[in-house]
Amino acid sequence: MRVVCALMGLLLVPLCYLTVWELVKSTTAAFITGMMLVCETGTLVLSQYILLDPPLLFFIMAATYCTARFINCRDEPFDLEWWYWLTLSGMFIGCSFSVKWVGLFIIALVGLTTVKDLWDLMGDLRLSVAQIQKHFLARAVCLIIWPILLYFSVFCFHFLVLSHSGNGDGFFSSEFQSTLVGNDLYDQKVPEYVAYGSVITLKNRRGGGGLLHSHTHLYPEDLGEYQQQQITAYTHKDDNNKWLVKKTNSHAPLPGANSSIEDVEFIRNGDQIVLEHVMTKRNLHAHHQKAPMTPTHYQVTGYGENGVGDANDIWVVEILGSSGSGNHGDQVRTVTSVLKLRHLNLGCYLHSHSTQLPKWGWEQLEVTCNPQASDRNNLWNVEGNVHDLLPHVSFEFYKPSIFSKFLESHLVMAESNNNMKPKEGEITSKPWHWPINLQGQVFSGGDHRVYLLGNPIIFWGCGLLKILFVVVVMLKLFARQRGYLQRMRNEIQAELDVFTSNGLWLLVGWALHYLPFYLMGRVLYFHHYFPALMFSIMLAGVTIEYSIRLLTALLHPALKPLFYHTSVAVVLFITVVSFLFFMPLAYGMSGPKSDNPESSMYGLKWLPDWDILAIV
Amino acid sequence: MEAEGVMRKRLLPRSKQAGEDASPASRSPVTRSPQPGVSLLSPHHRLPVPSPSSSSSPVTIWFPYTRERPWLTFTTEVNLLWWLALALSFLTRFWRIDFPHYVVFDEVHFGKFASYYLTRTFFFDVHPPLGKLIFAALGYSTGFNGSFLFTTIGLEYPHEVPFVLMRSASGLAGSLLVPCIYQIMVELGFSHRAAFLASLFTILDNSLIIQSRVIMLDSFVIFLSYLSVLCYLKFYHLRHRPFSGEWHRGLIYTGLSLGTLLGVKYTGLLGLGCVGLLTLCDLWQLIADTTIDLLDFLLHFLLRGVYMLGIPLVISLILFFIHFTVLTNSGPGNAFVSKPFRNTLIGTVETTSEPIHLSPNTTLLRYGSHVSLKSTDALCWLHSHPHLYPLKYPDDRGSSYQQQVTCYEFADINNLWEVRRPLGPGGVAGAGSDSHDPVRNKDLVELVHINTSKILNSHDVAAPLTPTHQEVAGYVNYSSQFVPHLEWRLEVTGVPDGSPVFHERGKLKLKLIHEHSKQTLACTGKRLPEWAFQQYEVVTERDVSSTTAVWSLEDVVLPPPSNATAWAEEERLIREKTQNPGTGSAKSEDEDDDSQETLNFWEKYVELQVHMATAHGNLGEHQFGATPHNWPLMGKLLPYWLDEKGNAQVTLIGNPVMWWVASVGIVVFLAVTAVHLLRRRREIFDLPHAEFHQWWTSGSVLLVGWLAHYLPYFLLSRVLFLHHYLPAVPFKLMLLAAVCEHFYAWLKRFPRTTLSPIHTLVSLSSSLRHLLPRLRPVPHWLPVLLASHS
Repeated sequence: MRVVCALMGLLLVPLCYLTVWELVKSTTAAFITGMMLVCETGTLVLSQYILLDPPLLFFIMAATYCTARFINCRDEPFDLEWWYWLTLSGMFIGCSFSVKWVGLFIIALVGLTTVKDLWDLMGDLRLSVAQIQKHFLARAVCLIIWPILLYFSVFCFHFLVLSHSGNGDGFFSSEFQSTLVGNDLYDQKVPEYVAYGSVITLKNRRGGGGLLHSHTHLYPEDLGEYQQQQITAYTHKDDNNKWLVKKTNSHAPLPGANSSIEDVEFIRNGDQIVLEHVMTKRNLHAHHQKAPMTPTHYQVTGYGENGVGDANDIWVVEILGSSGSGNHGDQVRTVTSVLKLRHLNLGCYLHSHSTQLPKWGWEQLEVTCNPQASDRNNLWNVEGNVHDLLPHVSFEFYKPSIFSKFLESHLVMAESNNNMKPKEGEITSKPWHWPINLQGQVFSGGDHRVYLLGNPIIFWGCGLLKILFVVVVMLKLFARQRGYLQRMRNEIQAELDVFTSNGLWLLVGWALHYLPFYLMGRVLYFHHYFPALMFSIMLAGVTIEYSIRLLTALLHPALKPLFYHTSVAVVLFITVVSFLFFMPLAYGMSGPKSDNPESSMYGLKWLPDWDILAIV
Repeated sequence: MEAEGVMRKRLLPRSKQAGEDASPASRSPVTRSPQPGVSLLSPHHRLPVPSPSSSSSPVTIWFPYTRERPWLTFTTEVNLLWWLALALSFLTRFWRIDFPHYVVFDEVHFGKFASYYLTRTFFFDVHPPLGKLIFAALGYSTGFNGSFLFTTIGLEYPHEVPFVLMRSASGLAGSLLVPCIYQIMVELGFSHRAAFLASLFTILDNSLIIQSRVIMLDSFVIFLSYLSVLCYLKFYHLRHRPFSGEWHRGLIYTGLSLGTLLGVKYTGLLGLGCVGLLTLCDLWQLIADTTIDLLDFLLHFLLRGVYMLGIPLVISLILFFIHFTVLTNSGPGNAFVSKPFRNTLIGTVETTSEPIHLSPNTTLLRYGSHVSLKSTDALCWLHSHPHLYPLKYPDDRGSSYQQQVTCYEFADINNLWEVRRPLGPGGVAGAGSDSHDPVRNKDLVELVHINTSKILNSHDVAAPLTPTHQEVAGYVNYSSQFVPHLEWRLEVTGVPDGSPVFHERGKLKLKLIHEHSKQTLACTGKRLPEWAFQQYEVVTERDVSSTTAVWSLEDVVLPPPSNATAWAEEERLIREKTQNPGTGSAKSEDEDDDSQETLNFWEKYVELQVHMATAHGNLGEHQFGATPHNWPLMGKLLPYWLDEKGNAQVTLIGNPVMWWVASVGIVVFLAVTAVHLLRRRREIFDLPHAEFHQWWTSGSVLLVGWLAHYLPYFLLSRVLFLHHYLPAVPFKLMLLAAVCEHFYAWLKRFPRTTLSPIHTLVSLSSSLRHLLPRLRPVPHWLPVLLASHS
């Protein structure tokens, strides 16, 4: 698998080379870009291991290349080549989005390019509206519908392969779980209705909602006078999620082992029940006290000794029928009945949401009692149901369609993506660290140390060239606004136009793959920068080549070839030498640290933050 | 300001052509400028000029002296629409403004600050002084002495508090907003009909009404933001006569309104950004004008910068000068500022100094002294309290479960430590351990926390936030695996080893090296979580030369002398013996001004700005805090006040129909513009050039205004409320009016159209007025209708 990843990483180089060639049609620029990418140690490290990054980078670059090719076919629309590259761009867009959601950014780039392209077509009055519609439809089909189909089929495949129950179950709804082989809910292994004496688990109906959970730990003392047992929602299956359904009169006998099925009493809509936590024998309880994280809600606790509590343990079962509220006397069905649990004394509803408890609650989800009845997160369903006396009636569970499964898994993914918070003490990085290569990421410690760090020469060089490029664009805009540009010779103008417009396209690509990270709440790592880096390197290659060409033009004709070739050679030389210096980072270092003269990295620790765990 | 803007409103001759040949009749400045024939074919989009509308401009008083007209012709024109809007806005803002007679929401803060001004008590607030000074001045004018402190929401106002007058200041600003809106619409080239519609929307928006009826700063902010946009637009239309008197005056007015805006609240930066963006666009177009050479262009650039940034700076300086002049007594703000700053206030008390006599001048540091140590890097004191480190951190690392040692920014009795000789093996006190000998450089010492009697310890346990460093704790004896290593080596630089240490408040810098691990005590400057009350983390650091490891000796309380004369003699001898006189005598000269050091105005100004800028982020969570994406659709309301007896309440809520419709209006604007652009691209011109140009540029100005007052909040991590959105709202309402007018104009092309969207909207909004009473169950409080419903 490492070989495949390495192959994908390898293919990045020709892709970059070809993209640059497509854009500016300059072999020199393309070659410089290719060499810079080859010598970029960070990309090298990333493509050596089984990570999602090599395929992601490959698909992104492939989509970029195909788009560039496609744009260059614009003179002969609707011929075979045109269709070929259009379809291929769509395919690679779909692929990159299927690998990681970062693929969204390449979609944005291709989308913007297409919009610009269509805008140009609109301005061409030789084309009839019907022709433009045709253009539009072709792009819509190939760049929108086709990738979506691809993405969707990847997910279908995912469900098909992962048809067995596993540790991801708890994140999904009960309906979803009933399609998983090996899950308790698969193949009708549970009683149909819930009765008094059933041991149940309760699942919050929110996408990614947890199971009602309790454990022996108490709420911390600074949260109020009552220091009672914590109630949380937990996304994993656990014996601590089990609750016994009891009558409010705790002395009323529950049907025992020797009673018959006639003694079993089912729970109906409007019944008052008490839920006892099986492991700790405490009852689900709420009282007039602020919830720990959500001060507008009431706190929910576990209360009582051996199942004996007080009046605040009583909850009223409300079943939501298809019409909103069920009829009085409806029985509670496993999985399919949607319930609300109303606290009898406070009138609030059992509620769970995505707010996590702090470390005293093991970062499980908060469970509260919500005074607002209509909140969507007040809905629960019975997931597990165990009762000794009840037969496991065979009935058809509501099996979700592939579409609702698809939707649900996305909800869960989005939820967990946003909740990815750094563990304390973990080294995380901020987006502004990345372009300046402030700190790397440790890939492997121990004797054979691998450290993900970009080649600083290339990183900083790219940064400087980016600034140079922006300055050139500003100067060009200024000159155009003042009317100076129009006075220049035509071929200079044309060259400048090719340079700035293609450079701008690459700059936008870079910005689209980089800037959105500033808005993300989740934990970020250095390797998130590498898609942007591809664009950065291409822009650098283009800029270097253009500046050398510009300088050459100023010289005496006799010196021109000499100067041009020397400069290119110098650039390539610097790139290769910097690679030789920083190569040990990628291929693994053993032996002494960088402060030791014998180390392969001696003297190369240029920034103090490069030694996070004293690796370099 | 506003009235003048209106009065100078030009009178355009009734015929449209007359404007071009600068008719002698018009002496008013604006009309004399040549009417630019706006050509859309040029690439330079300019803001449109106010359309010479058939309906008259508000008021014009005219003293033309020309051959055609006799002396002293007096002509007036009264724009009834304008006056109607003004009257309505005053009516809605001031109607029973005294209700409720209780402290509402943030009146708690701003009323309190006004009281502090009146009692000249120093306080700290993140907002600049102008708004609060206005409230204070109004209070002062009625003889209110500041004795009422607006402590909690719902407190009934005593008779002597002029809260109605204070609220009226808000009300006035809120009322004057409406003519501003009207005028901006006219300046942007919309018809008077659209201008009136926009004003009407503004008048009827509940949230703006409520905000104009409470003692808060937002009403000023909203008014001044729009005033500065208006001033800028007026200035912009003078661009054909650069560097003329009016041109300068226009810039000065813009600068003044921006300055007052920034003097009220720093969110005014958004207003500045908005005007700044418009200025930059204007400058960009100026570049294209090849008749202006580059030097002139530079002058254009610089003058705008000087007026628009310089005037606000001057205003800010003046305001803070007043602020410091008024607030001479020390008060609740003391804790936020530095010691030298506090020294400028009358009656400064040091919280720790009550039972303690501070050692005068340089004295010998003796064993048994009680000292406080301040980190010179993080400016906080070494602190401990009777709370333990949590047993486990969320990442499953364990702690020592011993007493927390932190660094605390404020003076506190828990910052005091006793310097003690280390106990001998087995905890047995060695000989002479209770004698108060001088402490010598490189001595081994123990630091005992006075209030809890725990001894400063460090051990090989990862620190809470910085796992690469050792944790520092107050040693708790669990008789378990943790062997205490309580000895610290005290190191003073520049003093020979073994020579006695002279102490002098705040000047003695020292390091404490943990003897067992050879690491040094340091403050990382990271804030610990709630379990340590957000105080700073203290660790030991491997790098002994780290700057975070330098502590200064602050308070020192010497043990009571057993024999005072013997001590004095000993001290004198040591002083003589010390070869380096610089440590002792030289320092004692500047001794006095050390603790008496004060700051001048500039230093105080800078320090306060820094504190204000950094304090914003430290506001905690709030129950009614709302995130920006909730705002346009009003996802979360903000309760201002709740009657304790009845169920009357004041809640900040926008006019729901208008907010939602206006949010849709933005989408409609974008869609319509996109359709127009596409059709124009195909060379289908539905609108004449000028009309489309006006729609496109003016609409964009409004859209940019809305975005500039809205989007930046997404980047802010502090707690935000619905009322932060209010400055953006009128832009949205104006855009809605513009969209309405556009559709109206479009419909008018079809003959015999009876349906006018404007009429529909007017009736819609008026029906809303009738709808509102039903939304609330206390109908006899008429004024509250506008401001609240339950």
